[in-house]
Order: sequence, then C-alpha cells, then structure tokens
Amino acid sequence: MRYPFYLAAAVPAALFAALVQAYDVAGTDVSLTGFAQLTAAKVTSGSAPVQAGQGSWSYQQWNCPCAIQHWEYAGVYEKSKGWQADQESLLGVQAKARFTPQLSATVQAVARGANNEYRPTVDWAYLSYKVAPGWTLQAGRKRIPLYYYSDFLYIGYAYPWVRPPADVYGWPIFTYDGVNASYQTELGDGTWSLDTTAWYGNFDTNSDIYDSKIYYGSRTDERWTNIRGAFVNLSNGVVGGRLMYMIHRDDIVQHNADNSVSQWADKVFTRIMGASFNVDYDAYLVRSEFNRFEQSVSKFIYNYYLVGAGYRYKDVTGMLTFSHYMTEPNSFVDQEGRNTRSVSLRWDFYKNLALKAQYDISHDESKYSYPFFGDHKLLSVSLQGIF
Amino acid sequence: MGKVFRNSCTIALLTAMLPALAEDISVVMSSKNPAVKLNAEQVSNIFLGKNLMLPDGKSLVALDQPGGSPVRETFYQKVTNKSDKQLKAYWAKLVFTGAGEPPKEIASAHELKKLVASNPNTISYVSSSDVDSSLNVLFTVQ
Repeated sequence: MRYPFYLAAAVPAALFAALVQAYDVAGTDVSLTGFAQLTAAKVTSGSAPVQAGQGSWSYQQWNCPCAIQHWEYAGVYEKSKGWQADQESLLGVQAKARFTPQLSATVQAVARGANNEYRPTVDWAYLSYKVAPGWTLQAGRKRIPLYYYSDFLYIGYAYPWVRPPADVYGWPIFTYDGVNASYQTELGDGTWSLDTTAWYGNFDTNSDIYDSKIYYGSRTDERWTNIRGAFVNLSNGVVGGRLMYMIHRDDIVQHNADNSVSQWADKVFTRIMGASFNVDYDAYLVRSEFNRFEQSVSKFIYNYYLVGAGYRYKDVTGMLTFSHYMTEPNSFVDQEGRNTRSVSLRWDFYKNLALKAQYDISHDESKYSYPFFGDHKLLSVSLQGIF
Repeated sequence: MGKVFRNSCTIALLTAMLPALAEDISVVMSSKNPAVKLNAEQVSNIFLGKNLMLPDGKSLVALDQPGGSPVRETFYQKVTNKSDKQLKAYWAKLVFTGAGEPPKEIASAHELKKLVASNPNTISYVSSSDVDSSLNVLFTVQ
C-alpha cells in the first residue's frame, strides 16, 4: 500500500549511495552519527468527560483511558496495557558525505516502535550546497521546520522534555520533497545573530497514519502541494524569537469499505503561522510557542500554545509546562481541544546520554458527542542519547 | 598543627594549579591574514556556527581543540557560557536538521596550531603561551 512512499524515499537514498560509491576513492569524508531514545510510559488514570462515570471506553483502535503522545505515527498509551515501551522508542542513523567543502549529501533513517514495529523510514535525504558565505541551498527530502521543535522532534537529546508537548506537535504531514535556501549572519557588533530559511515543496502520503488511524478510521491519503514557507530566527544568546509563515494546498481522500472514495479536502488553501520566544538566562530557561492553523473553505481553525519555565542546577534541568490547543467553532464539526500541565526532569548523567522523567495531567476539552481520547494522567521515563 | 599543615598544602597545591587554569586563551588565525580584532559575541557566534564570516565577509572554517581538553572546556564556558553537555545538546539540533556542523576537532593542540598557521581561512583558539609569529590574535579570553 505504501509502496510509492518507500519508492520516493529510495530514490534519493540510492542516489546518495551511488554518489558515495563514486567519490569514495577520491577520499570523500563520510560521517555516521545517530540518536536514540528508549521511552516507557504508563497511563495512571483517565476518564472520558462525555460519558462521565464510565470507567473505560474505546476510541478507534485504542482502549481508553489512553494518552496520545505522538500524532505523526499514532503513538498512544493505553491504561489497560500498563507500562509500554514501544510507542515512542526509536533509533535514528544519519550518514553525511562531504564531497567538497561546499557540497554534501545527507541521509537519515529512523526506526520507530509505533511505526510498523521499527521498520525504518527515510525521513531526510538531501543535497546541501554552500553557495556563498552564510548562504546554503538544499534539495531533497527534509522535515518541515514548521514550529520550533518540528524538524528535531525526534532528537530528544536536544530539548528538556521527554517530548515537546503533544498538544502542539501533531500533523498528518511533516516532511516535504523540494528545495530550500537559508542565510545566517550576525547583526552589528555580533550581539544578535539571525538565521532565516525559505522552502518550497510537496508531499504525498498514501494511507497517512494520522488521518487513517486517528481520525477517519479507514485508509485516507493526504497530499500537501505548493508548500511555501519561511522562518526568521533572531537571538542574542539570552533571548530568542522565531516567526514562521507557511501556506499550501491540502487534499484529503478517504477510501471507504465499499470501495468508494470521499474527498474531504480538494486543494484547500491552508495557512499556518507560528511565533516562539525563548529565554536562557543563567540557570533559568523559558520556552514558549503560539501557533495557528487556518483553512479557507470552512474556516477550520486551530489555535495552540505552550509555555514552560525551568531551572538548571548542574546536570539536572526541571521544567513546568502548560500547553493547550482548541479548534474554533465552525459549522461542520464539533470543537476539539485539550490542555496539559507537565512537570519534567532531565538529568545529563553521562557525556552523551540524558535520563528524563515527566508527569502530565491532561484534560480533554473536546465537544464531540462521543468520547474522544479523554482525560489522562501519564508518567513517562526516557533514556535519550546521541552518538 | 595538622590542620595548618593541611591548609598550607591545599594553598600550595592551588597555587601550583592556578597558572594552568588561569592562563589566557587566544582566538587565533594565521598571520598570513591582515590583523583583525573580534569581540566576545563575535567569537561566540563563530564557534556556535551562527556566523561563519569575519566582519569583512571573509568565509571561515572553525577548528576545535581535542575533546575533553581543559583549554576547550574553559574556552566554551567563558565565551558561550555553555558546558560540554549543553554544547552537545545544542549541536544535536543543528546536525540532525542539516542546519550546521560543529567545528572540526583536531587531534592535538600542536597539530591544530600548525593547521591554523598554514590555512588562512581557519580559526581556532590556543593557550596564549602557544602564540608565536605564525598566528594573529583576534581576541583574548581572560
């Protein structure tokens, strides 16, 4: 079913392999790096607001009380299963070949427990060319740098939580095949640094996991075309701000049991905007994001944000975080929303390994007539590292 | 008496260690380049990959001292205010998103100095006592 997806990924991978082969004799510098996380979590309690008093219910394939923590590959913890380590655990390997100081090729493959039992996917495969000091052009497959953590969502070692708040990070499509240009520089006497990237591309999924498993309940294909976006990141080492704007056309086609298809979105104009502000002052840190998704036809609008504050003492970083998302009222579907309060700890106990623990209290604000994922309390522990 | 003796020993030991810890670190390029001065923020931007140009637009390649060496840890702590572990987390984001690469690590301080002296587009940092006529000092970390 997903053959075209893998084929699309295989082409740049094969190209990369051929290039490595061709240049190997010339002494091309090839580096292998990677990242991994072993995450175990347990839903300690939960309830469905819609049918109060009911101890358990099901939503799609899941037995609830349950907690969705990973929307892209539908990583959901179920209370009835106790501790689960297969929903977010993953292993990623990146190979980068440098042909000249300016030209390189990078491929990254990630195997995730929640995705076909660790069957690896090629999430990144791109050529990178430094055209001039500060300027870089890239072509191939990359993750969409939508929000602050979107393109390194799987690099747990790079952020303080077990995972960035799931209330903000969930999309049917998170990758694009296309091109991007980026520029980085410092301003004035170097107090501020700026980097900016603009991208263009498309992406097609057959049997998209987010759509098919979480919402539509049968095979659903989604396509984003004419994706055009840009972000600007400005920071002075203490405070940093990032603004992002992206537009694309959205197609959603569901395959029904009777072999008919339902076209839920037909090249619908979509606009996504994001703003984030971070502070790193001595031992204190603040992380915040305010994002909005808008679709033209039906005025389907999501608003979401996260605000977190933390303190670092030697190798331990503690964070308190609040996150929220809510759709605006419209004429065709009930509102969906959720808020989550989290306390998280990160302990950098070894040079390239961090141990994290997190406790989330999450409240389902959705107004669906049926029980959705519901409220949950979730305890997570994770060992995250890079190599 | 014993306590006084121990304190004296501690002071003697600290005094012996002080020169190694307190020695200045110089940010250097080859003396084949025209002399340029940088400030601490500019040096921080270069070694955090936020800017790989001199103020005149000349492109730079940053090189690192061996991992775990005192000069490297002191340099980053003072210039970027980040520990070795914080730097690893910082670079993880850039490396796995294609947004940058940490400075290339050179196996020994001696080799690093030779590389910088002979490659005008490279920049690194050395103990100030290692600076000679082959190197220009762009900034001194005290």
